[in-house]
Amino acid sequence: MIELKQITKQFHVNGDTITALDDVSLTIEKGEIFGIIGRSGAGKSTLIRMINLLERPTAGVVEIEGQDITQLKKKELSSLRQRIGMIFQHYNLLKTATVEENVAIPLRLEGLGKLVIRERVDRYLDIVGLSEHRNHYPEQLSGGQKQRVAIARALAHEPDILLSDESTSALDPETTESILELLLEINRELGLTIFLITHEMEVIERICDRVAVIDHGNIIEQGNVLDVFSNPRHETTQRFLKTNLDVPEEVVSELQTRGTLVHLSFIGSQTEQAVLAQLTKRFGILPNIIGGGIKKLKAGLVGNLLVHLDGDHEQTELAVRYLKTSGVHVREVSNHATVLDRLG
Amino acid sequence: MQQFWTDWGDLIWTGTIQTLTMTSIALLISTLIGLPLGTLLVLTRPNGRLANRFVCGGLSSVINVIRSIPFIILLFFILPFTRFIMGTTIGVQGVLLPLIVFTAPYIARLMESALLEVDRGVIEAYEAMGISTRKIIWYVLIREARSSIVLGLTIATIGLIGATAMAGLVGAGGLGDIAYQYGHLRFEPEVMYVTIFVLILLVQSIQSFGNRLAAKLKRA
Repeated sequence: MIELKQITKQFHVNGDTITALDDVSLTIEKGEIFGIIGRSGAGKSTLIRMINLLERPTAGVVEIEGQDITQLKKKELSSLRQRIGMIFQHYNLLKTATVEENVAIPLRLEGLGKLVIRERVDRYLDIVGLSEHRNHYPEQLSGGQKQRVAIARALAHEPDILLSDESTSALDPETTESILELLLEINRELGLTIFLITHEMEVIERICDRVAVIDHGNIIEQGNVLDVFSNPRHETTQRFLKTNLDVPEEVVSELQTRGTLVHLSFIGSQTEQAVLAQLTKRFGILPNIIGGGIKKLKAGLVGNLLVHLDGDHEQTELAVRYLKTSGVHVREVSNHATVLDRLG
Repeated sequence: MQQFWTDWGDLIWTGTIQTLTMTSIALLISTLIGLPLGTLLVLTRPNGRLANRFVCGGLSSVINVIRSIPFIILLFFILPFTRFIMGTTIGVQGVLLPLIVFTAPYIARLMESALLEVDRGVIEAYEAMGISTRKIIWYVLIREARSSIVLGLTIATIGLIGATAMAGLVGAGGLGDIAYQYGHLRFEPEVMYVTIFVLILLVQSIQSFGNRLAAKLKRA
């Protein structure tokens, strides 16, 4: 378990004080995949570096398994860091070393024996699927392959925790998918706790159990991915969610002049119930689907619909209440400004 | 042609050996001083692993001061120091110290720029793996920079060969001295031409050796 308690981090740049993290508290459970999402400059890079103390907090405590790591001596910190793997956006491999050496060298520097190193290099290159490329140099590999080498290098220390710093941000969608799949597999099969930061929604949706949204050094929202995404409270969160319901602004404002516009989220099995048909049947309301899509979250499917409800005001209210009691998350798209926020 | 070699062959051969001896000894010692200094410059610069304004600034100024002095002036300027350290100011022994004082700061700068090319991210990755700064310097920083280091040392070697031409002034001999003594003072232009040709050959082969080694060390 990793606990960040009231972490504040300030940088002094040319006489100015910049607060990168402002009283941040987080708990990451053993074995889960915890994601931080935020725009660039929100403080997520600084936050992830608190866990292995690449950056030291100005105030606050970082606890791993109940131990305050900010108090560790140099040697103890070194051995702690060996139990925390880290992967990066730009892979950070040795250009002068082969795939195999890239995994082996850190182990050798750590003082492990030749036999152990060989066995681990074989095992982890196999897990990431690069056994055949062991004698290649990083420059001969694609981005995804390089990230796999970096993952093998991190795993070869047999860590308990893996930190992922924007590890898929430089990759194309297909490669991103395969790296995320690999991370999921590692989490499931090796039981690693994964803490990741990203600015990509799909990374969170695809593999995270829990998510925290960071903005200007503050955690503005956190919880299960399903809950946060089906019922985002904060504007920044909603903005991250805009993606698959890109309806032109004119359409939205036109529709609002006659009737009510609602955003519906269906979770898991409800996706199959014909709730919209019930609206017509029970309340005489004609739902008109403006846009929609289905997202595959780690915990299951989430369907999102933007629906225009055309009908009597009172009946509409009843209909919305009916939807809510059927377990559908309903957000009314009420005025122009929030529409823009929600729909981009 | 035959006659030329009988007359001058030995002299040119001796000169070549002298130049190579001076160059290689001075290069070796200058590298042993320059590489650590270059590393120190990189480590102590602002945002470096061991950021220290005083060390970095002080060292940088000393290097700049020494590098401002042309070799021929340096050679005479530090005569007392040379006598104190080496016990003599003439011959190969007398010229080695000035050559080192001249070259070490140059190498320090060349090493600094080679090391600065190394991606900070790799260093951070090794830091995150709990590897000590000392090991990171050797196994990451210098390893990753090795190709640029070799190119830098190649440049320094060629500079050194040039500087050894002045060594004749303190009786250390070498090709430069022969070209000057015989070509200029005694008016034997053939000797000068051949000497220059040997120098060109030396510089060419050192540069292409350096290039090839650097390319090999770069590996992808």
